Amino acid sequence: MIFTSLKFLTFAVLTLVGYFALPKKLRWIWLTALSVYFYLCVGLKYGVFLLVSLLSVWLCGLYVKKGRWVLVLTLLVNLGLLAVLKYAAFAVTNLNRLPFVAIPVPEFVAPLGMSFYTFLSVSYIMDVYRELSEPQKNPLKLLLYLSFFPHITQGPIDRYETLAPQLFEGHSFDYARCAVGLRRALWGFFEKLVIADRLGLLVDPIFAAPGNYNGMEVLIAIFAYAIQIYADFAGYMDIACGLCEVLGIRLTENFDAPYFSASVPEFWRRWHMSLGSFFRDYLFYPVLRSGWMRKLKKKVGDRKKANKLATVIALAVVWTATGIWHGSAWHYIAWGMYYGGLIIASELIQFKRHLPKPLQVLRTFLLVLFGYVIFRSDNLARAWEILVQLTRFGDSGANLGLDTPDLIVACVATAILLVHDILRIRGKRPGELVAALPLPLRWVLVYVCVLSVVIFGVYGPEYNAASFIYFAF
Amino acid sequence: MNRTEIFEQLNEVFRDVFDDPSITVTEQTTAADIEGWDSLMHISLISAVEDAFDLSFPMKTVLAMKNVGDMVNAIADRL
Repeated sequence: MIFTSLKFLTFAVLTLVGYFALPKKLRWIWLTALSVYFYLCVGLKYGVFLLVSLLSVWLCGLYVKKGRWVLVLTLLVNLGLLAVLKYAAFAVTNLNRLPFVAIPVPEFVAPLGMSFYTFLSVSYIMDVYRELSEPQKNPLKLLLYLSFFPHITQGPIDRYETLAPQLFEGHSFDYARCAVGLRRALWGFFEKLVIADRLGLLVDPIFAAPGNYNGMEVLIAIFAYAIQIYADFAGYMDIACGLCEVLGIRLTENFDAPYFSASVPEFWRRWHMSLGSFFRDYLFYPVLRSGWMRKLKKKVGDRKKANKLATVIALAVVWTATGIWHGSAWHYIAWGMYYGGLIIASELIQFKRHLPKPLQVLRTFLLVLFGYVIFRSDNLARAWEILVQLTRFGDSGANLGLDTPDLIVACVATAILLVHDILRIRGKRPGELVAALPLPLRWVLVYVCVLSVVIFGVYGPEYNAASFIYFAF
Repeated sequence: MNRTEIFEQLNEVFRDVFDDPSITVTEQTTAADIEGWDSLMHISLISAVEDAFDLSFPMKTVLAMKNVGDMVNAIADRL
């Protein structure tokens, strides 16, 4: 059930009406039932894996104090399932390249959102183990946390301690909050349907056959992809957060004007923030504070050098994991290592910090664009082909996949997104600014946005609304 | 070691870790007040504090520290 489908809109309206119509005590049960229905709409068989995850995590929460082995076993079950279903085929395919190895390639399909609910599970059990969260005794409540439909397919990776109390509390209806939430969801639809899906029409053919295009056209496609993936993912987040806002639930924010970052580390503090903080708390810190790391640091002796070495090792682990998490393909691993390399370099080398801020932002954006070449390409050979094609000049004779009016719409919509993010970096919240406008002006803006989505949105019977990019992860 | 002495020693650690002899931390000092105090430096700082005071923080404590006051409390609890 894609967020931009009519089916989901009906589902969302039903969710909101039912939530506020029911007594407060029953509201979390309503959300649980809807979340399970939402998930099972994808396929009944996928529910089995969610159930295994839920049971293991629930039992772990209850018995983790019996010993560290309970935690380790639960981590093995959950991460093991993810590894087998998502990466077994990739691993076997690569093993088969070795001489005398011929293992049948398994045809597993990872359930929708598995990467996300596995991380939610890991986050919950780690927090219970660290005594940062109380174990949840009611498995249905834990099921709601894991399967909550706004976050199960694409995140954010909310912490149990922050989200769970909000889920279980029956929130009262609040008109002002409802208006803010609906406006945010509307903005999300604008980002997804007007910007992301339109730019997708330009990006897809060029990344599929870069040889048919000249350097400038390929460059435009890379730039357009940067806007597309941001509008797509942030659009999803705005729809999810907006809907939750109406319910009185605040999800963790995932974006904060990332393309205005002055460095690559800053970019990753502003892009997919919940994934970054997940890796920081559950991988980076544990690696840095592990027993073997302490021993290694003692061997090095000099504290500053030892800390640098430890940081480099931990960053390499985290970024390799980040790459692998995004998909079972070498180009994702290469992409993770590319960022790992950049962030390690920024730790070891003092880049010129006296550059004017706009130039620092431009430098970071260019590095991010290069990353997208690796990330968006189907494989490393295609990424190389795109880079080579960037040096080809002359008329390609190809068209860009978008006609002039569509290009104008894409440019104007992107400019609006730019203004939105400029407001964010200046510390202003666009949603609050709109809420502070005089009532007539606010309604004009809402109507303009609705009409823009209806008129300029890329959808309709002849065109299937593209799946959200992060559904794949 | 009283709270003032902890602060004195902690200032030395901060100055050394962040290479800034002008740093003076207070109960309310947070990561936002010191340039370069990000998630990477946080762990380096924690290690340096652990070495300086010859103690070890559990992960729960490391993640729960919201300002230097919390850090001083955690040190005082373990001395």
